[in-house]
Amino acid sequence: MVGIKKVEYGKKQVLSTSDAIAYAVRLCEPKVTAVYPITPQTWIAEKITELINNGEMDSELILVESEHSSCSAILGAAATGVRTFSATSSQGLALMNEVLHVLSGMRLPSVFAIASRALSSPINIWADHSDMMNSRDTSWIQLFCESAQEAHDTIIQAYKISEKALLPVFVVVDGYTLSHVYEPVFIETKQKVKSFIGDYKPTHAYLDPKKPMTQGPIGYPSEYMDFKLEQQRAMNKALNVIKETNRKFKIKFGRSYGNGLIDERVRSKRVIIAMGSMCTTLRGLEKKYKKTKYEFSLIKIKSFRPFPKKELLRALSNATDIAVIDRAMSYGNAGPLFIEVSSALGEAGYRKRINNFIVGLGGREARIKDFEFIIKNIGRESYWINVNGGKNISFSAVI
Amino acid sequence: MIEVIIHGRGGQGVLTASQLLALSAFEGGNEVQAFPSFGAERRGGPVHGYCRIDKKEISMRTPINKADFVLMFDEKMLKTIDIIKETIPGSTIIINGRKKHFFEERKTITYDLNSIGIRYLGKPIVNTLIIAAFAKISKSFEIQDLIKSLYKLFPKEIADKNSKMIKEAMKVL
Repeated sequence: MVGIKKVEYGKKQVLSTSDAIAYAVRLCEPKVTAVYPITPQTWIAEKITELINNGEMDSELILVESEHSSCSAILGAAATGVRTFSATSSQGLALMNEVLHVLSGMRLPSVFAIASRALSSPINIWADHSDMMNSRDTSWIQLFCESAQEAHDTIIQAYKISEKALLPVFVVVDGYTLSHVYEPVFIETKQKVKSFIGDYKPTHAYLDPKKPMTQGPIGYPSEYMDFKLEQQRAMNKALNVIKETNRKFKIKFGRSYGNGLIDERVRSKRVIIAMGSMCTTLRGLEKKYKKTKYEFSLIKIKSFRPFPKKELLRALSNATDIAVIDRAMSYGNAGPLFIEVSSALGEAGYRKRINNFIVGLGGREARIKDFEFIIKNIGRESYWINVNGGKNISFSAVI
Repeated sequence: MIEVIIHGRGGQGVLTASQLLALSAFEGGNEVQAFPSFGAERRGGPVHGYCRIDKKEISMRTPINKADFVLMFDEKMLKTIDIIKETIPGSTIIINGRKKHFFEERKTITYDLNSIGIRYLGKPIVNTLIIAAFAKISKSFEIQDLIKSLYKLFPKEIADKNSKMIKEAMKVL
């Protein structure tokens, strides 16, 4: 990997999204970093190890033999009451899975950057959201980004969110499609970031020989479920923590991402709901189709977990036709985001025309003409896009 | 918006060229978005780089399928690349080579950049030269923006050599 020799803090410059993430991590100064290389996350780990090696970043770096180990090392480190960081993708995230549940269950804060990528089989190194959806129920906060700047800023926000909500956070960028893109990004200063996130002062989990404590003991049937209820409370509370952090971030840094949970710029009766890097393209098309027959508004879901049901329903109150774009599939049913949105609408008793588009699995191109097809078919049939040699195949035809 | 595709071989500095292009165009007051071909590259194999340059915010993250400019590091690669399919009519193809090439409704410019590279760097490295040629033809940024960006990407010694080479080469490009 090449890149600018010397990054200038407090200045806008052209960097890869991976570098933008690495420099945000450097500004947040986690005491412990544990990483294992996996494509397309590797650029993030490479930059961080380089910064630590050069003495530009002060962090205990643990190089491990697998993602299960990197996540376990983070679990151990976070339990001593320090700020931590890791990054991974795809199979690496899947391998972490059992430890992910332990971190969130023990209510340990941490921030992981994910360059999201397809899951095997067939083996594939390119972008989709299968790895994230596979981690849906781990009780980690999931924040999806669409630009290098948003990724940089969301890492900084994530430490504050995580330490306040006492839940670990995934900051997600689409593998390659965003992680490997070079674009202008304003790199923040240490002073400002430090005053924004402050020091992490753990009150429930730390290492102090004078105050020995047991962490992560067994939860009998008489306790387990109550712990889990607290976890759900924490996730629900995190919605406000995320919103509040985004609001404060705007005051301090002058940038924000919708209300932190969802991002809608305009309102229309026809709506497209999506996540990740494709939102940039959709926003361009939102402008292009404004005041035409196919006018629509984009709702970007930034926080997939916790799912911002209330905010989403408010945004959809006047919608008549809704299309949900998924970059993953829950095989045997539909796209995971579509299921979430449908469930929220059903619960609220809303009756809308809603359909689902499965797009870009394993790095499959989503072309402008594919998005235009979606825009023209909001609220109609559901489709797999650009499959079997460039065709769109309706769900009902998948038999 | 100007969309650029760069073709070369692993080891020729295609990824560096797409970054250098983005850095220089940004220096020249543009919004930019550069990305490599995604996947596993190897030395000698075909490598592709992409860059979007615009005065406005770039609201697009799709692959570049119809370019305004193609920068071709090795004319032999023209055998395997369908220039007509990946460019718009009126586009410009800048080629490092010695032969004349022709593509209908496209402007084709061939420079023998290898020999310039050998003269100044001792190696047929052409990535910085082809960006200089692009700057001159597209007028999307100045040579000064490119020179400034060289020093951001390369160690001083290499940047010095490239800078000297570009300044000399501009007399013939």
